Amino acid sequence: MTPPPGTPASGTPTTPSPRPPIVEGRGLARRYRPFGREAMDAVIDASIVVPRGAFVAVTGPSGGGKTTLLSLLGILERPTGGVVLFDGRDVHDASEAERSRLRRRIGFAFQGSPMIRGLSLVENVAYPLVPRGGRASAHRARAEEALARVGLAALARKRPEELSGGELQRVGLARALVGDPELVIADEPTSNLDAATADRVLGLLREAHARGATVLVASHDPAVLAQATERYEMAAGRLRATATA
Amino acid sequence: MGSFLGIAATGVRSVLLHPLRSAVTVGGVVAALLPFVAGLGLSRGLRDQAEVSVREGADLYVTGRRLGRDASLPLEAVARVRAVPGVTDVVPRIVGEIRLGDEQVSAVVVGLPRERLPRVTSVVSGRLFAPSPAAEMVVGSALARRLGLSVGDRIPPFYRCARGERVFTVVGIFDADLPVWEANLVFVDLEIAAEIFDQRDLVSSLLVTTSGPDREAVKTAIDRLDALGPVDAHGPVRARVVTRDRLEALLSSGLLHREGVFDLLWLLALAMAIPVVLVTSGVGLAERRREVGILKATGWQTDEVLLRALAESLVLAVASASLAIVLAFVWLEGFGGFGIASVFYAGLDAMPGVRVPFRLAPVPALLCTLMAFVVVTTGTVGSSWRAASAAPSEALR
Repeated sequence: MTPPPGTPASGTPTTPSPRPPIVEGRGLARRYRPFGREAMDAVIDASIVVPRGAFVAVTGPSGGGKTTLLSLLGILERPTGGVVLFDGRDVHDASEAERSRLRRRIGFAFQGSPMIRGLSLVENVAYPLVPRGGRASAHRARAEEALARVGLAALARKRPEELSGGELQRVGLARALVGDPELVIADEPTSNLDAATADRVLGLLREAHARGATVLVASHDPAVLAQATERYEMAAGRLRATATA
Repeated sequence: MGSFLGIAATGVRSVLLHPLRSAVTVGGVVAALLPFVAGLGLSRGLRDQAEVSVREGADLYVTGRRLGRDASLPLEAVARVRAVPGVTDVVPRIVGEIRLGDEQVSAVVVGLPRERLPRVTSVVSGRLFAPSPAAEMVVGSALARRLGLSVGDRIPPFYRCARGERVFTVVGIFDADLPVWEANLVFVDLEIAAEIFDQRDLVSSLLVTTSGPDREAVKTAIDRLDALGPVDAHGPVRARVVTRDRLEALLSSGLLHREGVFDLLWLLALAMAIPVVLVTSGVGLAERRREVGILKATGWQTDEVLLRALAESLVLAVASASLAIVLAFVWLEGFGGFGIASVFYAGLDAMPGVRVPFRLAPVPALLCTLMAFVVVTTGTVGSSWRAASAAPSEALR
């Protein structure tokens, strides 16, 4: 008789191994070599574990390397040193196609919320859904719902050029959340927002977290940091854990 | 399939999203394609005309040869050739260039017996020229328009010959199935033509009609004639005979040669146009990089980004090719192929003043679309691929 999976040769059942952290960085380094200038280390030997279901915050001064760290963990660029493990898999040697597929499991809210100009907000928010297949009308409905969640349903037909910075920030978050990602990465999601809007954005992150998504956020906002289950501080490219709730 | 169509639809949408970039690309491609489409259309029109001309013409064309060179034929050759078995008809013809009017417009005089005007012509006003000695001519309608001639007008002496000069009268104006004939042909009586060129009792060629299917046998028999007229101090004039099939092949190869030279020049121009299109596709390049960065960062794969660019290229290529074909039609039909017709029609001015024959066939149109696609894809997919190959964070920076 064939033993059930997970049963060792001795026949003693084992407890199933816990799922690996959603993303983990080990000894990460990122060095830039701007043309004609000296090499610059944005991230130096940074290690971080983002467990599933956690709300992790990275704080620190501007220019300290937070955005670069999020880019590395969000598989937007390759580190010059160390490894990134996404769902336990080392993504360094993964093909570009595989890295793109992994990115579909991540919702990234960028600083400044870059949008495709000329497209309406609802089209912008629906764009990440297009390669996943399905009807355009269904994508649109989900995008409208995501915009409604960030309080911008009335502006769905507007173009990004017509929006304020704060509104754009919320559209960026709607785009990050539209695909129900396992990991939400947000870079300074409440910067440049008034208190009420910042509250609303934080509420959305909390909501995503409550629905089971892991949240990784770079922020100075004490309100955001207060939500974090784990906190890191980053300065001059170096990362250190500061507190765990 | 759903995602394939969805991605392609975003590419189509992208054309309208960036009107300046799309307009610059279409403009660059149209500039490269337009001369090619117009040139091919003219070339095909010319070939059609040549085919009609040959089909309506004689079975055999006989010209003279002396000391291995072209020579006029003595008029006696008509009787000698007519005596060859299998020959049913022989028409003597004189062809030569003259210059008319103050502008010295080039025209071709064709001297024929009055009753032997080509079937593809029809006199639209006036009448046919009277037999010699009347100095009368029938002029092509386009040439008449250009020189401001109408029936009854007199043309001052335009040649010198041993028998003096004569004032000609325009007695008729003709149209032809072959529009270029209308542009520069003048029909006169055979004897009058001989007088114009001061070549009494000589003709340029003979148009021979045969009875049986074996044209080659008749050709050989004419070739073997010892002499086509009395042998003078310069020796005999022998025949050179070209069959209709051979003439068709010669015309076709001549046209293909000209078309080939044109194609080569165009390909060189296109080779130069590709970098131009690459540069023009650089209009909005930063925007494209940014867009691709956003797409990649939100989970699009490189091949999906390229499919989007390919759909955009296809729309731009079809738009460019369609516009090039429409503009080529306007150029040839509305402006008489200004500047390009003279490349294919020797003797035509830059502004031909006649409806130049052309045919915009489906195959060149498809070829044109394909070329447009190659050119546009080189620019659009190339730049998208470069942006998609970079890390998304690089493209977003």
